This record gives sequence, structure tokens and C-alpha cells, in this order.
Amino acid sequence: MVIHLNEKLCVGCQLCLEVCPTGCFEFDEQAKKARLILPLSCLDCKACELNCEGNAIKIEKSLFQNFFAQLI
Amino acid sequence: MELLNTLKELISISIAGLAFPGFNFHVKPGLYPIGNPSKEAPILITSNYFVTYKRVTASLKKQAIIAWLLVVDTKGVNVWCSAAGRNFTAEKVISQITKSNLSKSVSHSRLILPQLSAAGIDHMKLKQEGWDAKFGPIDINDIGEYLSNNCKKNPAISQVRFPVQKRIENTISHNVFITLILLPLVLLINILANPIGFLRPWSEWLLPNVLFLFVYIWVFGLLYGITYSRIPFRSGFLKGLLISIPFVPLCSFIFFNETTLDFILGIGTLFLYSTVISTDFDGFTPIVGMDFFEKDLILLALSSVIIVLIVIIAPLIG
Ligand code: SF4
Ligand code: SF4
Repeated sequence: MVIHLNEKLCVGCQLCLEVCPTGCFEFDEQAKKARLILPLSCLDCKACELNCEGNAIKIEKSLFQNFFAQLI
Repeated sequence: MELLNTLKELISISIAGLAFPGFNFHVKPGLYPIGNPSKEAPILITSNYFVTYKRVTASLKKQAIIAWLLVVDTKGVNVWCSAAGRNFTAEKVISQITKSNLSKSVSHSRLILPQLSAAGIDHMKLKQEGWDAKFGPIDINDIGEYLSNNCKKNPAISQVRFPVQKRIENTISHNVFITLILLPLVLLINILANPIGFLRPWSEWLLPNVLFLFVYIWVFGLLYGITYSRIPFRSGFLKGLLISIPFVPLCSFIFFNETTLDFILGIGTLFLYSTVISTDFDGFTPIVGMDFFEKDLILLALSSVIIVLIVIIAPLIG
């Protein structure tokens, strides 16, 4: 699974930080935009994608990408 | 993972239902006052799974929180699984708000949703209906801190934790689940492997194979669940494999020591049991997703094929 964060679409609502149960995002106070910091911790719950006010997040299923990186 | 979790939840509820016929695992959806709430009291929202309701109300009481609790009909499934299975959605919350005449009981429009319901609830849909919805902490025990902090969260209350008490709880549910799956399977394999089946003395196969598996599931399961966070790797398969390296040969040496072949077959079989248990436990942790679980299943499937081949070939080459 891969998280795509389109920073151009980000409106800085911080909902992704509010809903993510594994702390995958952080907020860049200067740019006023979210940043992906722990993509491998993603649980694939799609809460961020569903609640993102800027429609900036897409969670894409991919079985073989990051295969071992995620498991180790 | 969503489907699997919902399935597991439903199986557990069904077993509990069979064990306690007549017992209702659904709480009646509706608006429940906690303490003696005023029109300004916070509105908390939860699922109508009996265990969740009990835990939420007990925790609110313990924290001396006065609030309105809106229980939504999630088909008696817990917050996380019902949200992932689309049984806990914005539409369901809106429908419950209307049915419960919520706006008559309160003078504000602020809703506090459990954080894990965000996998199913689109807060913007609630906004469109005039409700200002916020996702509260993951654990209801942190709601007091959240409210006194002006509904602001810090990472400590917004990220999943898997403490030892929760691990033991989940290990017990998982052990019950895996026992119900593995035991009949091994029983069947034993009967098929011995065509005269039940005509052989029970002590020859039932005790060494089936009862041993029962004890093994519980001993290994508990050992694994308790030490889970301390074992390196995120993968349940790799964790199980690692912990088995000292555990399995020792068990095989103690219990399958008649011949070298017995010892080797014992090792293969126990590695298989251990990795099945540890990989399946992924689904009982709050920190593993479906995508991850599928990757782990691939490792399990590959290793199972290798072990089964060894178990078949070893007796042939003596
Ligand atoms: S899908 Fe869930 S776990 Fe993954 S980044 Fe989004 S909120 Fe976090
Ligand atoms: S939820 Fe979307 S719009 Fe809001 S901060 Fe995160 S990425 Fe940006």
C-alpha cells in the first residue's frame, strides 16, 4: 500500500493528523501543509483519505511495493 | 482486514450467544444521559456493541464526566470494525441524531466522535447537516484529558497503543478463535491419515496430536502475546519464526524424542503451528492493516509449503 499526498491540494486542515492512529503525518507550520513522515506505519484504514478537506490524499493498494520494508 | 475483523467479531459474538442464549449483545441505540447533563454538556458518540457501551459508560463514570452519550446502531459491532465495515458512517450518525431528537436536548452543535470511527465517518457530511464533528481520543479513558485540554489532542492520546493488558485480552480471544479453527482441522487430518480412525486406541493419536495442539496453542499463544512488543520485526510471521527458534526445538526434544525422524517432524509441525498462530494474531492487533496482513500471509504460505514438503519427504528418505 502506498500513500500519495498531493501537497498542492493540501488546505492545511490537519484532519489527517487528527484521524491517523499511527502518526503517519506531521504539520509543517511554515508551509501550513501536512507532510508524510511514517508511511510504513500506515494501517490502510483510509480515515485520512475519507476526511481530507483538500482531497489531497490517496491510498493505493500495492501488494509488492515495500514488501520487506513494511514487514521488517 | 475489515472483513476479517468483522467476521472474527461476529464469530466471537455468535459463540458468546451460543454460550449464553438469550443474552443481547446489542445495546439499544439512542441518547443516554451520563450524570445529569445540561444542554451545554458535551455530546459523545459510540457504537452499540455491548462491550464498548459498558466500557465507555464505566470509564465516563470513573472520570466523573457529565455528558450526553449518543449510541449509534452499528449492528452490535465495535467502533473500529464497524467503521471499517461501513456500518458506522456519517449517515448512520445523522439518522440517530434525528431519531433521538438530539437538538431538543442540547443547545450546541459540537459532536465528539471516537477517533477510530474516522475510517467510516466523513466529518464533512456531518458539517453539511450543521454539526461540528471532531474526532476525540482513541481511548475513552483519555476523554477527560481531551475535554479539559479544549478538545486538543497530543500524539499520546491519538495514536494506537497495544499495552500488555490489551495484548493478554486479545491473546485470549485469538486463542479461542484459533483453537476452533485448528483443532477440528488437525482432528480431521488425523482421522483421514488413519483410515480406521476411531478404531485405533484414542491414546495413540488423540492425546499426542490433538490435545498436544490444544496445549501448544495456549502456551505459545500466551508467550507470544505477552512478549509481542519486545520481539523484533513488525511482521507476525517473522516474529513467530524468531520466537520459535529456541522454543520449537526444545518442545520437540521434550515431546517427540523417540527417533531422529520424530524429532525432525516435530520441529516442522511446531514451526507450522507457531507461524500460523503468530501470523493470524496480526488480525487481533490494532497496529496491523490488511495490506500488511496479506504480505504476511504470503510468507506464511511459502514457508508452509516448504514445511509440508519436508514432513512428506523426510519419512520417505528415512
Ligand atoms: S490510511 Fe489510516 S493509518 Fe494510513 S495514513 Fe491514513 S489515517 Fe493513517
Ligand atoms: S487532511 Fe488533507 S488538506 Fe488537511 S492537512 Fe491533511 S493533507 Fe492537508
